[in-house]
Amino acid sequence: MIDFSLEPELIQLKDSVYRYATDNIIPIQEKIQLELDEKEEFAWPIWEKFKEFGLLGFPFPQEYGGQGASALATTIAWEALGLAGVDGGMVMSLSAHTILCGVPLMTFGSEDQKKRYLTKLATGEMIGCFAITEPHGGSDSIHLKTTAVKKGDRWILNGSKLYITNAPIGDLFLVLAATDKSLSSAGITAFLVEKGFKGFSVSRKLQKMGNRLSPTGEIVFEDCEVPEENVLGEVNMGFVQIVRTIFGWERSVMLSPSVGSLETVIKALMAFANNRTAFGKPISYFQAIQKKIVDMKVTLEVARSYLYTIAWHIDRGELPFVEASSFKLFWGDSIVQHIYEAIQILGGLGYMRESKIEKGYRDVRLITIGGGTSEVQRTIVARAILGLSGKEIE
Amino acid sequence: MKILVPIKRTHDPYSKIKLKPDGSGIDTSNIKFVINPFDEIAVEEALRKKEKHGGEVVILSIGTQEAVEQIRTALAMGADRGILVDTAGKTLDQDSIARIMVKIIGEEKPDLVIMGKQAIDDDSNQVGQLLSEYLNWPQATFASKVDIQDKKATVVREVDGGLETVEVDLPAIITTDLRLNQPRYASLPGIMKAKQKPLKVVKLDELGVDITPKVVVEKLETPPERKAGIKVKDVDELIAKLKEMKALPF
Repeated sequence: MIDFSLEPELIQLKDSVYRYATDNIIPIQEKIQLELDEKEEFAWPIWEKFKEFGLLGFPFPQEYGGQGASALATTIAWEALGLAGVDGGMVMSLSAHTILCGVPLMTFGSEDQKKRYLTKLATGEMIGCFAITEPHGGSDSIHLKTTAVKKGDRWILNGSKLYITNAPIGDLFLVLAATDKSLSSAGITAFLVEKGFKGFSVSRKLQKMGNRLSPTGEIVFEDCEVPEENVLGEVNMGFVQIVRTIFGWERSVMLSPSVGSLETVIKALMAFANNRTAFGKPISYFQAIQKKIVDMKVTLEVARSYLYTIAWHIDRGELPFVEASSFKLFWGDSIVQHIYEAIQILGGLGYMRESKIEKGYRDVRLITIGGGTSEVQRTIVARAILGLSGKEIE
Repeated sequence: MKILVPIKRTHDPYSKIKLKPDGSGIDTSNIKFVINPFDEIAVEEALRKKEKHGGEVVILSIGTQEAVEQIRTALAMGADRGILVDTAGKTLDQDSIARIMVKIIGEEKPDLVIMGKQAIDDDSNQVGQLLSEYLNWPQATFASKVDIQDKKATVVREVDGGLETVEVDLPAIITTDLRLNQPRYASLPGIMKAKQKPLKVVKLDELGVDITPKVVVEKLETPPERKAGIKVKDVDELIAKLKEMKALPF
C-alpha cells in the first residue's frame, strides 16, 4: 500500500519553521536585503537566526548538537524557508554548510572527525564548504586536477577550486582531490581541510549575478598539508561513496527552498492578476495569463511530490542518484522559465528591484548550472536509462 | 507547581474568513487552525514558570478530536501532558466551557490556571472570569507580567491608561495579554518528543456538566464593505461635505 499523507509531525514542523522565519528572519531581511545584494555581502544577522533555530545542524544527530532531522524533514523545513521568502543566497549558504559539508561528514565521518567538526558546524563555530569544482572542468567532477600525495602521516594537496560557496567566510572545507588519476572516479579522495592549514588560502571572492548574499570564492592549495586523520571515508572512495551521496542531497533536498518560493510567487501572482486591470477587466481573465499561472501550479505540485519521494528514498537508506539528477534537470529548466513568466505577468513592476522578483530571477538562474549543469544531469539520466557505461558517454 | 493551561483551537488570525451562506458560522474549508494566540502566550508563560520553579504543565482543550492537533503543538513546545474534552461537535457557550473546566480542575487540582484573555474567534473574554467565580479563586486578568513567589503571584495588568499591579494568592486564574511574552516555536526534537507524551481523552457526556446554552449565536454577518473615499480640495470643501453628510454635531 502507498500512503502519501505526511505525518502530523512534519506538518507541524513546516508550520513551525514557516512561522519562525516569518516572525524572526523576514523583518530583519526586509531592512538589509537590497543593500546587501547591492554590496554583495553576507547577512550575519540572518545566519544568527538560522543558528538560533538549530538549522545549522538540522539533519545531524542530536548527540552532535543537531536536530536529528531526516532528509524528508530537512526538505520540508527548507521548503518552509522558501515559502516564508528567506533570501535565496542565505539559504544557499545554509545548504552548503549543513548539507554539502555537514551531511557527508555525518554519514562517513569517524567518531573523532564528528566530535572535532560536526559539533562545531552545528553550533556555527565553524562554517562549512564543499570544494569539488575546478577552474578547468566545471561540472566534470571526475577529471580533477587537484592532487593529493601521501608523505609520511600527511597528505600534500596541490591545485585550486573555483565557485566555492561560503569560501570567503569558511572554516572547514570538504575537498575532493585525485589520489590515483589512473583510476578516474575510483581514484578520488575526500579531505577535511581547515582554513588555517599550511598551504591553504582563499585567493579571491567572486562577483555573481544572483545569490549575492552568499559569498563565493576560489581556493588554492600550495603544498597544503592535511593530516592523515582528516581523510573522510576511505582513500580513493571519495567520489564513489561521498560525492554520490552529496549529489543525491544537493540535487533534491537542497532545491526545496525554491519549490517553497514558487508557491509564494504563485500566491502573489494570483492576487496581482485578479486586481490588475487591462482593457476593462482583471488580467486573470486573459487566457495568456491563466496559462502561465496554471503551468506554474502544475509544476509546483509535480515538483513537490517528486522531491518528497526522493527524500523518502534517501531516508530508506537508498541512493537516488539518478532520480535526483532527473529532478534537478526538470526543476532547473522549469523554475527559470516560470520566474521569467512571473516577471512577464508583473510587467514593469516585475522589472523593478522593489518587486524582489528580479532578484529571484537572478537567484534561480543558478539552478540549471550549480550542482551540475542541466546538460550533465541529462547525461547521467541518459546513461542510466539507456544502459550505457561512462566510457561511451565520455 | 502544577499549571493548567486551557487552549482553544481557532482559525489562523492571518487567514481570510468566509461565512457559511446561511450565516450560521464560518466556512471552515481551506482554513488553517492554530492555538488561539492568547492561549499560546499562556502556554509559553506556563513553560517559563515551570523552567524556573519546576513542576508540570498540563494542557486542556475542549472541542472536537481535531483539537488534538493544537494540544500536540503545545506538547511540542514543552508541556508535559494533555487532556481533551471531546465535545463531539456540540455547540457550547462560554458558561458551559467554564463549567466543564471547573470539573477538570477539580480532578487535576492545579496551583495555577493560566489562559488567554479571550479567543480571537468570538472575542468574548468571559471564561477566565467565570472560572474564578465558580471556583472562588482570585483572578488577575490581562497580564503583561507574572512573577510567582511563596504561593503568591504578582501580576502587572494592562488597564486603560496604564499598568496596574495586583497580588493574588495561589491557586488563581491568570489571563494573558498580548505583550506578556513571545511564544517559542516548536523545535523538531520537541515535536518528536510530543508524540510520546500522554494525552487523555474525556467524553463530554461522562462529565455530567449541564451544558444547556444560555447564549445562542443567532447569525453571523460580515461587516459592510467600505465605500471608496473621495478627495477634497481644501478644508472648506471638507466641512461642506461633512455637513452635507450630517457628520458634524453643529
